[in-house]
Amino acid sequence: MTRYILYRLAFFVPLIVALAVLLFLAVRLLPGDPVSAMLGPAASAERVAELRHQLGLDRSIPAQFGTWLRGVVHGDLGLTASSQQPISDLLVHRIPASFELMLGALIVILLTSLPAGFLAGARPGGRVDRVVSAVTLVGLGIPTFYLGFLCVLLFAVTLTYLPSQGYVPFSEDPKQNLRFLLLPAITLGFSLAPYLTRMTRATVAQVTKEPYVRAAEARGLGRSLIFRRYIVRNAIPNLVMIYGLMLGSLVSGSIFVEALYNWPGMGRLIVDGVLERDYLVIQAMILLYAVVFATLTLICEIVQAMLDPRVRLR
Amino acid sequence: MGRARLVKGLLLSSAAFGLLASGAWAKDGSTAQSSKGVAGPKLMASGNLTTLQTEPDQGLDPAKAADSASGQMIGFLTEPLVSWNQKGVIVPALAQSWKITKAGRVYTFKLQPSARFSNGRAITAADVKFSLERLKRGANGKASLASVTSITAVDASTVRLNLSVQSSSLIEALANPYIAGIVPKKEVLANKKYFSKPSPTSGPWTLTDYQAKSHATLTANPYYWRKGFPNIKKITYTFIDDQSVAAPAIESGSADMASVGYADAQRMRQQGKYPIYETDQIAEIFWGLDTTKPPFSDKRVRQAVAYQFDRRARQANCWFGTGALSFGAVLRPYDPNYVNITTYDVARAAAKTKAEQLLDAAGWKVPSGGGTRVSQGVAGVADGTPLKFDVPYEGHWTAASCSTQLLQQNLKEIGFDATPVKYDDAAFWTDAGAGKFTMYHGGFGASSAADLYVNNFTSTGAYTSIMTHLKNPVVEGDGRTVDQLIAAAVKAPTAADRKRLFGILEQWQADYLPWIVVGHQFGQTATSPKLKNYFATPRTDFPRALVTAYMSK
Repeated sequence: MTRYILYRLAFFVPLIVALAVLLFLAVRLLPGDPVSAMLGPAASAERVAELRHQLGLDRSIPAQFGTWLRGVVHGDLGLTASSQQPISDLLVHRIPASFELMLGALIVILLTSLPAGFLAGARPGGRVDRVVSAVTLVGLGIPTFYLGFLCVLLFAVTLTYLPSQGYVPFSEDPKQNLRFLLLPAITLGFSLAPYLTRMTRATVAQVTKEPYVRAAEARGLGRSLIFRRYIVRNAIPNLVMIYGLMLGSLVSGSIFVEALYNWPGMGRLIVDGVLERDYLVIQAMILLYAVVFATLTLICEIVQAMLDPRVRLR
Repeated sequence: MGRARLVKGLLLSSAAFGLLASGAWAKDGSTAQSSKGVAGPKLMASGNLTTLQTEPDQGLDPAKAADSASGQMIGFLTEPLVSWNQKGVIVPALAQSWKITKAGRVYTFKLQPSARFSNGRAITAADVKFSLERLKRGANGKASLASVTSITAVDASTVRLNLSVQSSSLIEALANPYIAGIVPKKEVLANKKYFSKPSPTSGPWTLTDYQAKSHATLTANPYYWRKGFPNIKKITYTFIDDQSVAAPAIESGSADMASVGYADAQRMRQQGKYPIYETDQIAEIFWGLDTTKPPFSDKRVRQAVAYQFDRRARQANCWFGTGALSFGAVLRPYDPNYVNITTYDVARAAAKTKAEQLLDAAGWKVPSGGGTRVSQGVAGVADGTPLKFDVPYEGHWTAASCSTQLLQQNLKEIGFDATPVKYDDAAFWTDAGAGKFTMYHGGFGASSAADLYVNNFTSTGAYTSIMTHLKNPVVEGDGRTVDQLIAAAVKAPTAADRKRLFGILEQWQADYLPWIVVGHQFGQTATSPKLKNYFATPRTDFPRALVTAYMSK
């Protein structure tokens, strides 16, 4: 197992470095220029040159990359171009909000997709399976933004049960925090739940067809026992990987949901960075997302290997 | 710039009433104004207010920040010497009274005895002198305080402004809450980060927390000069990127005040449940033209577009009936120098005929088989060149997209092939400045008529090379050049003189059309029905209109 983990880790570091190089170059291919965006077209040439120097944009691309990478290694992500604030300071406030939103969405997903998928997959073609398939088909057809607008319209504007936007840290007011969280978490969760329900259902249905399940049935074991001991146990390793990769989708899906509900998370920071051509913000955020995604994948692979020894042998 | 600058602030825009509004001329030729009973009655208990606004990206320095988002927050935090009341009259603020003597060339202000910064330190004449001198040196006050030659702190509570010439607009500039607020000399000099961190302020509220890209918290200044005010003790200032979240936030009760989109504003106005306040500002919506080369180097082509574009349809369909229409004027109807120009207010059929005649005369003819016009004898253009080009607009701006599509349809009727192009916001003004566009949709804001004309029409104006490409032409019928006329208008000794001179300029540009202004965009602010005693009007100082407001249960 240790060898397997070291083997995976050996890929992890080069992957992150390669991503860093790629995103650094990709960001610079974006049309527009942060200095022009900040100063406008009427700025004097001296002021433009001064700001370019201040932001380090007058240096060669390799020199800029070297400075940035050195800073990243030392935990210094640089300053925002517009307000000249440390990006790491912004992240300190953003990460908990984004994490909370993703956790909320994950709970929604686990409470809906897992039971629905298992129930549907346990009896493929049965009544529950047909209902779940129909519901998830509708769910897959609803874009996240539309679902979000529907939630706002129904729960916030029409019924006024929940606020349509806002955020209060959990430490300040737990009750209010949960009120603010509910709609964004439901929107984000339900945007991914149909897909995961179907994946869960397919995985479970596949396991039910395995010879050892048939053999258990032939031996006369009870349905409940077969389900717990043979179906669930064998489906879980695959589901760990599927749900782990889905967490990456939560990260990207949160960008829209944060904008819709004015949730002060990392997604909005990316949007602002792109609109303002704030290279350092974009680089910091994409790198952070890449590290989170790669780490989650790594954890899932390790957990999967722990649950299923066959994975380690592949 | 562009839309960002378009929604920029109310700035000096409240310049309608001038001295006549601020006080009657006394027989000795001086004017005097003073406050009485300024500490109004204590109203009902207050509560907190949550407002959704764009983040003040340009910081909170009143002398430098030029965007509306910054101006709005500065207006909450700093107090000017004088301010506009809800009737559009200039009334005392930090200055308890003022006198204008020496034929309008000396202004003497007496400060409120109770005036203090939020840290309890008394606001002195030295602070006023420091603040106004900073403003005069900064980009925001250079034009509006140009006539001020010196500022003297006569004693701790008296400050005197000496002017080179009588100014009809100085008092209005000093009433501008977004740039003319008083800042504490000692603290500003001692703290380099004064304008970006919570610091002592003179306004009704003070900044207690600022989380970039998230929110700010403003709390009532306990030493505000109007005793017992402001009623609202805490303002949560939530920053938004997407205006579409604003209306649902008001309707769901999760915000009490927010700038809403035009469609939402109109819908909420029709519902009648949520008060909508319109903000007056100089914010032109225009067609930018490259007048340095064909086809728009020919005035007749510019005029053809001006006739043919359906301005009423633009306002109704793209701005949902909000804002103002323009049929030739650059200044908006609230401006004291406004002249109602109706050059292009022509019935649609007649406008089309006129536009076609102008294009024909300019050498852009309809081919025998119909379709897009082609050049015939146009100087500098090969014969047979189609009258065809792209019209970029800022991609993030929905109303601009709508307007550009309308333009395409309008121009198609006269054989003009204009294709709307959704353009990257970040590159838009850089590329406009680089002369990449033949025609484009633009939005522009300014602090005053003087600011607008100086920056966009003079040969040395900051934006002239991008917006109008003017090189100091002679104004037909007047004989003076544009630069000379603008200089005369800016320094006009009386409001009447100023209006007359700007009137000449307005008429000239409506004919010459260095750009085609088709209307004005006004900010729409929706409030919760729980917000009471808030009487903002387009002519009001918005932050000070909130001072007496309160939140009902």
